Parts: sequence; structure tokens; C-alpha cells
Amino acid sequence: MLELVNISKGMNEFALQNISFSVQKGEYFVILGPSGAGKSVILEIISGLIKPDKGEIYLNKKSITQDKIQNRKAGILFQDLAIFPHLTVRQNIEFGLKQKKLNSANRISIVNKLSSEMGIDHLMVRRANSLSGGEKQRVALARILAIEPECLLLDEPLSSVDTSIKEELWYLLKEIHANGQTIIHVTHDFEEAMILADRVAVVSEGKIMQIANKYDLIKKPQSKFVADFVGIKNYFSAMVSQVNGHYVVEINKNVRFVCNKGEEGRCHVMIRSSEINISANKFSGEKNIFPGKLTAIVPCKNGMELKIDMGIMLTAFVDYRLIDIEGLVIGKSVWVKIPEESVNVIYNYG
Amino acid sequence: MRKIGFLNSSFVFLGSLVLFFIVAPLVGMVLNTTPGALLETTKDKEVISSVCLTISTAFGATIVSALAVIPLAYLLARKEFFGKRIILGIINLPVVIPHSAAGIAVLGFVSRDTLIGQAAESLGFSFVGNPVGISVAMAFVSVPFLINAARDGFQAVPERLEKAALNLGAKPLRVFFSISLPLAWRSIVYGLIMMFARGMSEFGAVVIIAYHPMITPVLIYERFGSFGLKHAVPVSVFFIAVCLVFFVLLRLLTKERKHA
Repeated sequence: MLELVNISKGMNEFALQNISFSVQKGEYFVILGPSGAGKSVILEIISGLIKPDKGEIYLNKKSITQDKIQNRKAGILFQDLAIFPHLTVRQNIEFGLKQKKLNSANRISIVNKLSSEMGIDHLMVRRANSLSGGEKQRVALARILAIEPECLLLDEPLSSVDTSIKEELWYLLKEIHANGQTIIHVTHDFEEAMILADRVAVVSEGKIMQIANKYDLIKKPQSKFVADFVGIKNYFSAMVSQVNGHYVVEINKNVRFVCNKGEEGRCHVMIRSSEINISANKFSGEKNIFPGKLTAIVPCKNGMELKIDMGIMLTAFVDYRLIDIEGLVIGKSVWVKIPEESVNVIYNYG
Repeated sequence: MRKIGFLNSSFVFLGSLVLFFIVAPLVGMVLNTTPGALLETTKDKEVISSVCLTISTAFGATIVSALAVIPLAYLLARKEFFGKRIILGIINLPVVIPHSAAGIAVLGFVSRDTLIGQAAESLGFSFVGNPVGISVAMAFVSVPFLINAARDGFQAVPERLEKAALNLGAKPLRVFFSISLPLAWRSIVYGLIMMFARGMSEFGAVVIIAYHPMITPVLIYERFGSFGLKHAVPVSVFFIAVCLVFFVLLRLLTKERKHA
């Protein structure tokens, strides 16, 4: 439905480089990346607010690269929402409809329907600048949906609302999507991407690092950056070789462990921090057991993250209920056991 | 008891001096006028006609200038182009040059010897000694106030709002009239008031273009030169009162818009 082909754009201290992806009709596509990665610029290029230096944008197989903003059928919801402060909520929602020269009866009908769907029908005579953050989000959504965009572009729309309102709005966006709306959503929030997306493109420094189904993104991050961004702490470049019928992963000369499946060659290795076993006493057995030293203890939501130096810096997550917190001291020697089945080898090494 | 520090008290003292410097001559002038003389002035046809001329020419200068100035201010606020800084400097020139010199410059531009002057002559009027010429002189010296205020106003309108309007399908002209202009309006009205007020009080440039018909600042000068201070003061007080009434009314108008 929407396709970007080799879009490049030089900005002051940053450049988008050969951005290509396509979004299918009815798909929820999330562009995920840190601040300054170029996510918003991609949306502004699609909407026509910025012209690309090169590349093409196709909507329904027709190039819209040179089309005027007004004719693009790609409605953008800005991060700051850009609600017109001098207009009432009704006038804001009606704004786009007036440009379409719809008659008054049609306008009223559309505005009433949308305001009811968004739960803002009681706010219609209020000035936009007297609304709360969540109310503004709904008004902005209603305003952009009123023009029936073929593609809805959301530029970090939930970055400035409270968590409780954010959850409400997630469901609202899911509903809009369930009605068949194609959505491209830019965010830096991994959780938001996981909740909303069908597919995710991870962007860093103006480049797409990976495009994947959201589950594949977690299972098979294709770079350290993506792994970091999706919250995978233990992600290493490695070499797999076969020794005595076992696949041995070598991260460096001192750190080698066995995994239960693989192929020989360069790869990335991912070890889930929650699956690593830690003990003050040596584990029984011989495979994948390493001595290490506790270098940091980071309390988090349901437990603790322990940083262990064992020739590589490994992060293990331990549940509060399963560990003696008193016994944890930085500098303490510990034993680490990496279960074979917890070692995920990723081969698209690039 | 709350202590006022040395810094604050010295600033208050210096500020008071400034206020005294502004208020004292005006109060002195009012006190030097008898109610009788003031009443007589309000009945003086020459004074009334000069006040009407001053207001109408300043108003005309402001409104006509606004038609071109507002688009220019928008361009200056929104666009980056070669020579923009030079243009910004040029715009403020009339504020810094002596107003009699400004009058000479305007005269050189609209007198009968110039192309514009001759074109006006062919239409049956002359800028020199004409209310239109007075308006031109007033506009020349006061237009920077409007340009700067309007430019500030447009600059304060987030560009995002204009982009959002474009994205909602509005054409650029529609965006200007429905988003940019209403949001910058308060600053523009402030600029209009300042330009109008500055135009009304202009003497140096106007007197070069048109001694007659007399605007009030010229009439005050003439009364002072011909009859002395005693005859100039009531006209001055009356004119200041008129200016203040206009100034307050227009300020109230903008304040009302602010809360609308």
C-alpha cells in the first residue's frame, strides 16, 4: 500500500540513508528508535512536510513523492499534537472537513460520530488550550481521522501522557487499527511497540537496523543495537565450531560454552538474563559453568539485575523471591551457569 | 517587617527617577493649563480640525501600510533568504534617522520633480501639502513598529500548527488566514496601535512634506512660535488627552481579544 524506496535526506547534523520499507493496507507498522534516530523525519517525508533528497514514496503504487502535502492522504498526528489553540474542539475536528468542502450536515454528522467514538462529545465547545493531555490526544486523533487518511502517521503521540492515560490510548489505537486503518507509528518506547505493532522497524542514526515481526525482533535481533534496544542484555559476537559432536560458542579465548544447536561460523549469541543461574557455591556438572565477580547490583521492577564479570560482562536477572538479598555484595565471587538451551545463536551476522 | 535589600531599594530609587522624568513635565503642563483655556481650546475650530486631520491621516497610514506590512512580516518570520539581515536593518532605519531628514527623504521621493510626484499630479493631486503626503510621512517613520511587532507575532506561532493545517488539506492562503493571522493577531494589533500612536505624534517628517494643512503637532509648534508657551500648552494638553483616550481604547480592545 505505502512503499518507501531508498529515501535519503541530509539534515544539519544527521542524514537519513536509503530508507526502504513497505506497509500493507490495514497494517500497524511501528518505527522504533532512540531520540534523534530520524524516525520523525521519515514521517514528515511521507506526509510531505519535508522533501527527500532522493528516493520515491508510493501510495497504492502511485508515486506521491512530488505531491503537495494537501493531496497526500497521509494524515500526521504530531508529537505535540498541534491542536489549534484559538479554535474550539468542534472547530478543530471540523477543520479538515471544511477544506474538503463538505456541507454542514455532513460535517456535523462526521464530527458527532468521531467525538462519540473518541469519548470527547462533552468537550465540543471547549477551547483546545483548556483540555488535559489525554483529552488533547483524543481531539487530535478525531481531527486527523475526520479527513479519512489512507495512512495514519503517529509521531510519538503518547510520549507526554501519564501511564494510565497511555494505556487507555493504546486500546483506542488498537480499536482504530481494528477498524482497518493503516497506521505508521513512531516511538522510542519498546513496550508500546510490542503492544501495538504488527511489524517493527528499528531505526538508528538515520538507518533501518532491522524490520521484523515483533516476535522475531525479540527472538532474533540482528545487531547489538537492536538487542540493546529491545532490552536484551547479553548479546555477543561469537564463533561457533563443532567439537566432539557439540556446538561450542567462543566469545573470546577465555569464554566458551556449549549450545544445543547451531552451525559453524560467525554469529551473534543471545542469552536471556532471566535464564542464567547464579550461586555462591559451585554448580554440579562441568558444562557452561564459570566463576565470576559481582560488579553491580541494579534493583528493578520484580527483582535485581546482577552484572557479573566472567571474562565477558554478563547480566543475570534474579527474582526477589529466589535470592538472598543480604548476601549480595559488590565484589563477591559467584558461580554462573548458562543452560545450553538458553543460548540462542543468531546467524544473519552482519 | 520585610527587609528591602540594597540592590532592590537602589533599583526602586533609580526607577522612580525615570518615572518622575516622564511624568513631571506632563503633569506640570496640565497644571499650567486653566480649565477655561482648555475649554476654549476644545471649541477652537482650527484645533479640532487639526486633531481630526492628525487622527485620520495616522489611521489611513496605519491601515494602508498594514495591507503590505503584514505579508512582509510573515515572510520575515517564516522564510530564510539571502539578504534577510540587510532587509531587517533597512526596516529599522526610519527609527534611527532624524525625522526632519526622514521628511527630506520622503519629499525627495514624492515631490513634483519625481516620477511618483508627477504620476500623482497627473491624477490631479500632489503629495506636498496634502493629507496623503502627511500619511506617507507618518507611515515612513512609524512603519517599523508594525513590521517588528507583526514579525514577532508570526514568529511566536508554532510552525507545527501551520504544518498540521496543511496536512489537514488546507491551502497555504487558507492556513495564513485561519491559523497564522488569528494567532499572531494580538501582536499585530499591538503593532497597529504603536504605529498609529507614533504617526499621530510625528512632527519632523510631516512638517517638511506639509506645513498646511496642519496636523496638531505642527499647530502646537506654530502656536508656540507665534503666540508663546501660554497658547501652545492648552492645545498640547488637549492633544495628549485625545492620544491617551485612543491609546487606552485600543489597549482595551486588545485586552478583550486576549480573553475572548
